[in-house]
Amino acid sequence: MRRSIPAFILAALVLGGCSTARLQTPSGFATHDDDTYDYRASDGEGVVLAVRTEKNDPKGDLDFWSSAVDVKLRRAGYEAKTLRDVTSANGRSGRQIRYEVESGGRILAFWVTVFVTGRRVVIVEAGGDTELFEPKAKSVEAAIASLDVG
Amino acid sequence: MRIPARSSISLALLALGLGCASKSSMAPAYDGGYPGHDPGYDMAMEASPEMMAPEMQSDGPVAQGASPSVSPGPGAVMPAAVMGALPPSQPVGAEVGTAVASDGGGQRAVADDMPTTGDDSVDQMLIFNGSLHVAVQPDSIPASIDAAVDQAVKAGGYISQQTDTSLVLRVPSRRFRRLMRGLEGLGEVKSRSVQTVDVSEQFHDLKVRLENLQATRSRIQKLMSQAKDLSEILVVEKELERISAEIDAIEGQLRYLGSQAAFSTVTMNFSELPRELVVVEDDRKDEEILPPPPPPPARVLGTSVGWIDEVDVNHLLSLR
Repeated sequence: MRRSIPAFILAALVLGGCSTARLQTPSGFATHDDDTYDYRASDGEGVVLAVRTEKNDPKGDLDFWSSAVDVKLRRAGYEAKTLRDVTSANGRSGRQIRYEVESGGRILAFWVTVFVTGRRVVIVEAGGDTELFEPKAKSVEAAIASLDVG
Repeated sequence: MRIPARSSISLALLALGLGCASKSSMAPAYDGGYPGHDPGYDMAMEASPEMMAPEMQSDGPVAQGASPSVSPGPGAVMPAAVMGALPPSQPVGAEVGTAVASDGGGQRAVADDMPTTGDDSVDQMLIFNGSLHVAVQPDSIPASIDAAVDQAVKAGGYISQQTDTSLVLRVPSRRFRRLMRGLEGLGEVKSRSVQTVDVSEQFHDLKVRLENLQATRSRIQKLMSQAKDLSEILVVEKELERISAEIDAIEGQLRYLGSQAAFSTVTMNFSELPRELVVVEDDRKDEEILPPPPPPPARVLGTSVGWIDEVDVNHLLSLR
């Protein structure tokens, strides 16, 4: 029993350190279980908000990862509309780039927000049909601001 | 010596035949029975084709008398003042003077600022054949053909033949030059030619032959009144019939030449100009008009991190 306590504490610490980032689900959204994302929620109209946590390998800072994601998206035809610095709920600096892309004859909005910790890269993605996404932009912004990236 | 009546008729016919031959040989000395010398003739140039036909029937009074003088009807020949002065090599557009036509016994100036021939022309029978190839704006060939027909009709002419891209017009010869000039204005002239055929000598010879035959016919008719028996009448009638047929044939040739000379032929071919690109003039400087060429895309290296490829709105929006 005496040996099990430190093991439990160790396990709790390890699991806590690797715990997935969570955010406050906006009103009107519902969360979904997903293998790719740590967190994924959508509203009834198909506006989706998701968080993925990846290993910071190669080890890069915020500029590196935000640039890497930006290059990939521009090559895929995304058009960057705005770039802004954001801050997570626990004070971590992040970078948010808002894109638009044409798909199936419709213009889709796609926000990518990147946070980088020492060992992890946290990516928050939000998107949907522009017409449906714009009315919920404030709720999405608030949800992203509620993110605790650890 | 008494000569039998039948023999005397035969001798008379023989003499008439010799007379015809001798008169034909005098053709070069013909004193100008051309319509240009006939005060009332030049009105022919104002005549329409419909007017020409009946008046070309120059039988009857013309054929009477021992010294007949043929007076062809309107349109049978071109008046000297109208038809005579344009040599085949002369450009159609050259100024050659004012056409003159006579009205009844007196001459009057025709209000034509672009005559086909000049005042100083000699007696000539000329047949004009013009050819014109005009290139017009794309899709405007039908309208151009209509405009050409309008010009010809206003000039007193008519359509002889028409296809989708060609036109054969017949127009009074004295308005030939003016019509050609007008037709040239329908588009860009690609080619143009005018041929003039001088049929004066042919016409002259035919007229002399006609006069001789008509004189012969008159004499035969007199002989016929002197015939005493049936055999003589039959011989004279046979000869009269032959001469009349020959007269008809010559008159037909004269009518044909006259109509050819009275109305000129213009053959038009139409084609389309190539479509042109519209070049808009602009006073602005080149750098204001043309944006600078976009710089080539920067060479960037992608990461080998797999998950970045999954950062995508379609991936995000697809429910699994």
